[in-house]
Amino acid sequence: MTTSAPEISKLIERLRKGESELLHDLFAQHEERLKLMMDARMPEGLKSDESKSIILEKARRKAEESLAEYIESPSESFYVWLRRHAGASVEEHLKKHESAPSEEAESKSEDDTVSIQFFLRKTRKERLLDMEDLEAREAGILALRHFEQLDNKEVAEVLEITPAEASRSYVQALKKLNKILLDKPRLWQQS
Amino acid sequence: MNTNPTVEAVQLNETAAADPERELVDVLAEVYAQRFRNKEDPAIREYSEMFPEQAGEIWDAFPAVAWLEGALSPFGAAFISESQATMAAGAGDISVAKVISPRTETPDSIGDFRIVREIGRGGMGVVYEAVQQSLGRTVALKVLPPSNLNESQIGRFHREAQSAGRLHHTNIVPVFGVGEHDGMHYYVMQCIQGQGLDNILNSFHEVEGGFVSTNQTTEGNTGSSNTGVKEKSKNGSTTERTVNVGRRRIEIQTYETTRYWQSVAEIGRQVTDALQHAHDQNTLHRDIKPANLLLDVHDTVWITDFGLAKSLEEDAFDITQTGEVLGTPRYMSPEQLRGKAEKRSDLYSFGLTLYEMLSLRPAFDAQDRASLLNQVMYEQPPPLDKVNPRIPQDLVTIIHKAIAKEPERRYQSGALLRDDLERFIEGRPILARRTSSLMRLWLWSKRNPVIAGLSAATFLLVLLSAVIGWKGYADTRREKRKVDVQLDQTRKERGRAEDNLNLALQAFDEVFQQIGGDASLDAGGGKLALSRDMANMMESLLIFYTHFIERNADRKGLELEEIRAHTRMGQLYLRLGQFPEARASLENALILYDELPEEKRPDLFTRDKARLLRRIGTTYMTWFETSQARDLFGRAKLILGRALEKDSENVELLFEFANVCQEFAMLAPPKGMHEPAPEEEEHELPPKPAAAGGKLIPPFKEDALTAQSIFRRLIQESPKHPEYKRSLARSLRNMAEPHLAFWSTLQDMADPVH
Repeated sequence: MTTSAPEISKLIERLRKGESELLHDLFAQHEERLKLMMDARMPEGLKSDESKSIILEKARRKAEESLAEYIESPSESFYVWLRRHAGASVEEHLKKHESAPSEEAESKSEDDTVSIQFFLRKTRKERLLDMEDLEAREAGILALRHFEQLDNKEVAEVLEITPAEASRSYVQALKKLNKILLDKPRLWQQS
Repeated sequence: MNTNPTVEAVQLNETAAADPERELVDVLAEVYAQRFRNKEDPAIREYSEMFPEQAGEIWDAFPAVAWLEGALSPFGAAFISESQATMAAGAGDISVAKVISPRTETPDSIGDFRIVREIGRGGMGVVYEAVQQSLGRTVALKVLPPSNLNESQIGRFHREAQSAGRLHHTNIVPVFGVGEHDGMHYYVMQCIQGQGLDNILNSFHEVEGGFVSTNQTTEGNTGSSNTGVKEKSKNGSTTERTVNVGRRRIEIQTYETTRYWQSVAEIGRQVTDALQHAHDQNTLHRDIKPANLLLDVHDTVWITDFGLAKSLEEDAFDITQTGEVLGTPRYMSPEQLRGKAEKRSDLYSFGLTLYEMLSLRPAFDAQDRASLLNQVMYEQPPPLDKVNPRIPQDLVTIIHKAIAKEPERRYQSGALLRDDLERFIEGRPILARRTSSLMRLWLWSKRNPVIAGLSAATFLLVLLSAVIGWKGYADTRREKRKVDVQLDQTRKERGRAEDNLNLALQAFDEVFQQIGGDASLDAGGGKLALSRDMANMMESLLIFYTHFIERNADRKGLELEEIRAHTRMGQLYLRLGQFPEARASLENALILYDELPEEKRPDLFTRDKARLLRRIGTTYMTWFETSQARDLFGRAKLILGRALEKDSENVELLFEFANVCQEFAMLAPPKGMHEPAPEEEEHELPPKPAAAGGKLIPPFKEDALTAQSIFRRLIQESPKHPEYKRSLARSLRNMAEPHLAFWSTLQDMADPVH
């Protein structure tokens, strides 16, 4: 699904040497996961293929703009960096289209928190209602790992915590979700 | 999975090792999730089996992973919900149907059947009492909920009906037929007037105040038995039972009566006979538990709900290959949890049911699922005779054989279990043999992945290090770095290590008993030969006890074990002729014994203390330091005498008193003293027999005669007790042959008494 880390650094190396058209390739490598990210963060009603490609295009432009900066001093892994730009594009898009943005979306700036709220409320309504016990951070970490299919290291980068902490929080979130699901058996039924 | 599980486990372990910052469960969850993304259908138990130590955590987390990946089968979910709900409810069982489908309205009629009322919800459906209008008979109707049905569920429902329909046995609820109406699938059973054993057990709990939290999950009017049973009102349901031809009466109103034990055995006889019948038809029940056994008013037990029964012939479609484990884990055999149910699994589950009937507590009583699974897989339920010493020993032996973890150690067929139960009922000797603690320890070690596969030769060594180094064992666990989880985990492991420690102690005591047993046999011939093997064995026991004391000194909760270890050492040294060492050990034991706080003192505190005093006295006697010996014997007599004043009929006290008198009699009297020692004011004791007219009059003849008269009285009261007879014989012989007295005393010392 994704290109392995060494290959990516090779690509980045070539980017550095000026082969800027390579960004396109790099982007393509990650397109699938970016789409998952959008799936996870966009409400059902706005999830058309068209809007997705608009957002992707925007994200690519943004990434191009700050690529030089990134190459100069890559402070995070490429996908996390890319995902951040794409995430910003998603937010812009949502602001433009959401007629009545939720209060939480306004008040909380941490993108992942917001996205999981969107995700759950808009796509798995019934489950969300019963999932108040799950803290936003926990829901976020689960969404990153499963809906966006980030690995532990990437999650740690996104949330700016150590990989050990990320791993521990993830396992704990799983257990908590498990408990919630057990307490509310109806949630098991697929919507 | 097409990969070899062992290979995969190794690979996963390597992956985890490469990333030590991450939790192992995290790494496993990632692999598990990835398989869903690859369109596979992985089963949780693949992972819990590969990593048994993490099984609990895996089961606590993986269902959520499956859900997040949107791929959990509803039945798997039901299992988890059910077990969880069961856990929350203590002994109760919540039905899967309640979990899977929201309660549906009770219909007025289904086809030919007029619905009277709902009487239960079970594995995969709702049970109604109904009238079959065309035939005018009352039946029980098991109906699958109309929604959420997939092909495989319908298939399973029909197979269930088919396999149950093939069974014709007086103790199996007959299935009349199967049908479909308006998309609702149902099958028709005989309606049984009676109640589930779970209800009966629950009513006991209500009376007893319960060691198990009472069942709160029973909602509405369904009752907790998910069966085709028409429940009678709780009160009065048991009074009208009458004798039925060919069947013994079942009276289980009063716990702990002989009738009660007999009745449980009778229930066992009927059910095992029915299971044998089902097994002969290659039909497994798969879900034997109290709720699936009904007791009717005619003293007949019925097995119902062959709901998960699966014909052995249908290998092609194995539900458990794809789904999760079916059924209630509390009564499940370890192999069934691994997805390999067989005939002996049913017998095991039924054994656990009988266990619960006898002890009024579930064999496995963990309240959360992880611990429960752990218990089922790795732990032995508490021995029945420890839970309640009044349960007949033969019955205890039978049940523990039935619930052995290893199928090959159980009864191999329902018929064999039935036959032993019948022998018990009729008072004949049973065929099952008790498992010694040494054997249990050996079996435990085989289940333990760490030391499984070791040869028997290294076993003792491992045993020693496992017991002595149990702390180290807990420390080296890979959980070490994980703070939160670890605390919990370590606590569990500690519990296990400690259980094990007790088991090891028991095993060594058993070895000790055997050595002592031999010694006392030797005593009869007056020999003191010690074989090399025996001496070696005793040396290693000494090493064991020494280490045990070193390691566990000051540990709370083990004081009694420590005292016992000291005492054992003293006895061993005595037997080896090392008197100063023997004395030191025994004195240590005595000091510790005196330090025991009041509430920790065992019932026989005085007896044991007197015995220690007597033994220490003996170590002096052998070196003819008679004044010290006399002093110690005197103290022993004094405390025994006081205790006897309060409890003059206490056999143990009397026996020890006689033993002390016997030792006293062996002492030469202090010079210039012809009267008994001052402490020796006598107590109400059996009348002294007329002076024996022998030629030899030992100095303290009085004591010897007292001892003998007590021995005689004890023999009269319990003629079968070999110890009393042996003591009397020894006393008589010592009187006649004072030159043998020394050896006799020595051998007596090595006699085990605990």
